[in-house]
Amino acid sequence: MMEEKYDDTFLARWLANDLTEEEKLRFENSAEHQDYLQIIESVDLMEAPSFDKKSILSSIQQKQQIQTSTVRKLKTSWLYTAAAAVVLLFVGFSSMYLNADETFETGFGEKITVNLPDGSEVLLNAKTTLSFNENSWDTDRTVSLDGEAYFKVKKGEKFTVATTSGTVEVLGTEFNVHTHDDDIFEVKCHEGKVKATTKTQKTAILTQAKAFSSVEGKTTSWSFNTNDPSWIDGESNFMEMPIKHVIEALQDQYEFEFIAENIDTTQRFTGTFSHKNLKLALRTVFDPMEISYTFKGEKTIILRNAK
Amino acid sequence: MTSEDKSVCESKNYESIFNTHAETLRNFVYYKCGSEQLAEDIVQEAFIKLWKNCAKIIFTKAKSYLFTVANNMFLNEVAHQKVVLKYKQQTGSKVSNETPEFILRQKEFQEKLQRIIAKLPEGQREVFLLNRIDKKTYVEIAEIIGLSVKAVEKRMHKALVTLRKEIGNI
Repeated sequence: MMEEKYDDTFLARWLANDLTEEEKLRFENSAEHQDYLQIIESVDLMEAPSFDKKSILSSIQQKQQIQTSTVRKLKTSWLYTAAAAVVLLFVGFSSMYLNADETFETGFGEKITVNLPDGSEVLLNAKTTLSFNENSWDTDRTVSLDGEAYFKVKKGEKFTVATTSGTVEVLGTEFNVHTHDDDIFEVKCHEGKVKATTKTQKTAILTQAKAFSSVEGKTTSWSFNTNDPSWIDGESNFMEMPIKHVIEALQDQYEFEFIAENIDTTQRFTGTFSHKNLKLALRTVFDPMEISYTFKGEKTIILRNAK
Repeated sequence: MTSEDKSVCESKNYESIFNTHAETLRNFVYYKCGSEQLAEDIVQEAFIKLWKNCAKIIFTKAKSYLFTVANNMFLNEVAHQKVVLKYKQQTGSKVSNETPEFILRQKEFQEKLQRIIAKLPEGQREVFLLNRIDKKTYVEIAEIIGLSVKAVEKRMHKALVTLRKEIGNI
């Protein structure tokens, strides 16, 4: 019987060309050799059924949002010697969103991409929360946002971004929304057309390369260059932003605690800072404002008037 | 950025995992059960599970996660439904310039082989077809299935012995 002449891995090794010369010769001269050759030649003509990668991938992408929700606990973190009032606001916000169906939240220095049920994509900057109801997505494309995100919206039914400081409505386009609580609302249109409405009902219709912001009651409109690097490329930029919000943005990226002594945090800053180099970031923000920064321990920076 | 830093949650990384492994995964399950539909369903469910857990899975471990998950889903499916395994017939694609009689005999031979392959124990069948049709090496197969290379070789050998034995009987 054949099985006794050869060991139990022989034929596997034969196929992989892993036989000794002696084994090879012995096999090629045997009666069974031709049978096995014929079998293998025939099997090697067989094919697996065709596989339509594209259509399977897109049905996966549609289904992956229709899942039971994972709600991540919102972290509370205290950034500067802030008042208890700010803590209450944060807690209020979190309980409002804990009941949403699908919630995504980024931590310090973290960026993620969320795929929405219709294939639209949202890139979240650090310390940002996004939620939406996947069950009603077919008829109502609404997301809630707190923080900063870049949206790539697929053409379809009206798409709405709801924030506590304003609302953005689009049909199919790319745009950036930056919000914080109810006092910052900034929208930049990269492509297509966007309608931005502040919580006090001031409205702006933005086309490509146009931006609008309402910060602590003051509105500003401007044009920007869509090719300029943005937070997605590791650089945050600001137009007339009170420095206290720029400090918060620095904290979101670098996770340092900033303590502001005697500086006027309502001064407005226009400029950028890098996500990749803390010292450079501090220089570009604080030097023009004539604010000095001193490191205290591992995780704290003290800001003072340098004037 | 090393490949360990790549986040599975980023759509371009997730898609690259799909493009690299989805077809082999589908074939792996298909060879087990012979049902294209079941194989495709399991591939979809496995990738969806990968997405749900994307934050917890290292990019370089995604492949073994997918195959383990798919295998478990297959086992659950079989236990749950007592699936009747039916291996689909495939036709050879190579054109030959032999006589019609020869071609017919070739075709009959192939059909016989397919019936015998369908009757092989699942463990032998999946190893055999992953090697012959998907051109996976024994090392790759060992990694996919979670066996030693030697165990994979033994299954290959046994499959061939059975094929030769049975083809004479029909």
